Amino acid sequence: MGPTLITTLIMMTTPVEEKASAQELTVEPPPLLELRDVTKSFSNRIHILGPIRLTVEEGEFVVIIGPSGSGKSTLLRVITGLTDATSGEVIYKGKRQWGVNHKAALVFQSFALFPWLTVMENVALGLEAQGFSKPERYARARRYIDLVGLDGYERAYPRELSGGMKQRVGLARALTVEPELLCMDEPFSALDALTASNLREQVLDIWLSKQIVTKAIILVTHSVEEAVLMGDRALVLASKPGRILADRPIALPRPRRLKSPQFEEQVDQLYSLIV
Amino acid sequence: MWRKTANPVDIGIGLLVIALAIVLFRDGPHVYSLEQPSLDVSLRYLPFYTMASVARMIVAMILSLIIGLLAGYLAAVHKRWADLILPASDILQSVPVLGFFPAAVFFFIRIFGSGAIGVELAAIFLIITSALWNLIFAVYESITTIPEDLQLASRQLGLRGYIQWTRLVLPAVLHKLAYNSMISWANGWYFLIASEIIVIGPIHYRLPGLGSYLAQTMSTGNYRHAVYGLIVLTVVIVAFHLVVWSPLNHWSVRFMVDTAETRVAPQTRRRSVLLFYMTRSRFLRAIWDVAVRPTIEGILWLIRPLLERERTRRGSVIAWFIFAVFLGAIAWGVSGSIMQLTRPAPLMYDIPSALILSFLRLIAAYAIALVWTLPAAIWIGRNEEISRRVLPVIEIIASIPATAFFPLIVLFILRWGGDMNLTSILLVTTGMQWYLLFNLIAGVRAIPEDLQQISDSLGLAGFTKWKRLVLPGIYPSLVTGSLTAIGGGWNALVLSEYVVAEGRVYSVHGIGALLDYGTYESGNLQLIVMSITAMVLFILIVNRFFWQPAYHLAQRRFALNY
Repeated sequence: MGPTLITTLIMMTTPVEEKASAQELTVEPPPLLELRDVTKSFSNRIHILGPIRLTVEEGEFVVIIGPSGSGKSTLLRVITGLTDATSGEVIYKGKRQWGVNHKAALVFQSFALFPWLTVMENVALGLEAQGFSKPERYARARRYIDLVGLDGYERAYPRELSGGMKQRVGLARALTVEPELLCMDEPFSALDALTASNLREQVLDIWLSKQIVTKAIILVTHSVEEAVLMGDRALVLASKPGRILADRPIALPRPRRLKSPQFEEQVDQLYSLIV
Repeated sequence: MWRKTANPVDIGIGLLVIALAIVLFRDGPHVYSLEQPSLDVSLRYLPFYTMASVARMIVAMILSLIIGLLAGYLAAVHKRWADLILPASDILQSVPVLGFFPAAVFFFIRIFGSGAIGVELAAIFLIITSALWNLIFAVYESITTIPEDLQLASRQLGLRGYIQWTRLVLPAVLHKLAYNSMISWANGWYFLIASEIIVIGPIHYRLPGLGSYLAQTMSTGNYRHAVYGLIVLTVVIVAFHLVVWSPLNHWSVRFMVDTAETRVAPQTRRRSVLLFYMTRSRFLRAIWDVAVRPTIEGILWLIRPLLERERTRRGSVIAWFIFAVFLGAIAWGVSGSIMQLTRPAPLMYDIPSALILSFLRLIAAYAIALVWTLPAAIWIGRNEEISRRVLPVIEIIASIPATAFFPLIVLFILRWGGDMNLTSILLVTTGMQWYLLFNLIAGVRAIPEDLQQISDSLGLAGFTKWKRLVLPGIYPSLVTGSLTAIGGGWNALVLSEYVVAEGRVYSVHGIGALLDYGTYESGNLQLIVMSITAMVLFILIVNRFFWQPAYHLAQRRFALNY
């Protein structure tokens, strides 16, 4: 038993990856992510999403805004492959995506930390699942723990941390698997205003200073200010069923100032689309 | 960390192994015999008997845990397994231990012979039947209540197989499983006496053990040795409680998924010296690496096909095989039962009246249990200080099997003018009260602090407070506790309506006594099958028309998660 069995187990359990769909040769590289007429319904009667057409290019920070009930979270779960689309295709780097996309990572509103694991064990969990040895995964996890500013808390349990610190753990856990696509599902909604604002700045800083290998970020939020502060592009969703109402670039120079006239104008524009 | 200093836990385990080996090789050959009509009750052999019983209990417990984890997990992740496993467990848990005697004899002893292996397996099987079912439900409930985001996160991170089990499934079930294992362990001891002496009419096996030792000394009126046995039993129970269950339950608190309950966590998370050394024990680590981990991996590999979302050929073959075996067992049982049911049996016309009398006894016992547990639970549950001091003591008392004292209780009550009817009601109470007490304490604790405070500030007091806060607050726990208590009561009936003391049988007219008579005295399979069938049908009807509506009401109106 031992290593051989584990390897066999892992090999057996690896989902059938990327059945290459017949694609014609194109000169341009394919976009990072493409959704082709994706819809989602539950039990045939409740149609909650789509059809959605969407393209995300490398280097983009895309923000999806919408009221509650617009299927934002569901859209993110379809993109990461945690939920299957009812119809339509999710194309990742030109290939049809089946099952969970392990090139993507997800940050949850509820943090979704394992209460029985320490900060270090939580952050290194994705690498453990990939079969990295303990020294390797701890070394890499430590890098991202430091990056989000949690050094010194490696051995703490989530229960002992504040909300802001818990979300830092969630962020570090997502970054540690070095995802190409980082998806964030209302990551700041469960935090108090001050903590949320701090963490937003930190995420932006990590992203803009290119300290991570991640190629694109998709952030879901219900806050228009958050969208204008962080995104390169805002997708506005309408509810029941969720569909894309508008797709606007946010061309403000960075760093963005919350109270500046251009910022306010951009916010007002997006608000007018939603209301 | 590789510690240079010796670990006290490792030293303790080493000494224990040496002591057990000495007892085993010194006394084993002398007293281990299935043919002897009676045990050698001299004190010299008591350590061996104790060891034999504990070994049986441990094997039964480990097997129950494995089966419980598997069955609970299958039921939790697959609807079609849930449809099979949950109702089956529900029915089987209401069948008393004696109901499994025919299976134990006809299956284990027929297949493995009446040598040591066959009879030991039969006894272990009987202990499992009193310990398994609540474990299945504990695992099922824990897994189905894992927060959805946590499940999504583990899928996103790609947790599978052994890592998924050690990082998600086992930690998530640990808290409930540890608590229920403690209950199962107590239950196993409660029915140990009935499990070590396997008798169906002329078929007669007596396994050397603490249970059979107690039964023999009590029934022959050898009280000096009976008291020795009871002392040893109590010491073993208390030792296990202090060394295994108490640390395990303290430790498992950290594995609770965050809910309202966790507000009690900080107080209970005390530093335990024992726990400290246990987590660093090289011996326990080695056991995990050599035995536990390969077992988990092996079982996961075996059941892998059952969990596939798409049907694979291997999966279908295994699923159909299990289904066929299950169906065969049912067909065998049903056809055998019908054969037995269609022929008239002596005493069969007594079954309806026996059932009703036993039910009335059960209700009386339930009332007695409720009258003392409800105030006690409120007293203990409302006060953190009291519960920290009193609960550990109550847990120990609850884990001492009252069945071992039954003959003494019977003689005592009869001597002081009570009759056997009253006695058996009191004996049944011993099999019901702890379920009520522990569930009610949990219920009182689950009433949110802010509801308590708003009630006080609104000036609710006395009856109004009971009606508006306390009773609605504990209603869900009252239903769960009552359901398990009544279930335990049905099981306890067979030991409470028929007691052998000082070479005499003391019994009352009831379904438990009828089952005892059919098993021990006449060996009449028809009577056993008929009594069990009547009893299970009766329990199912009561569950369907009384407990299920009560339970749904608890979930709909009185759940505290608004």
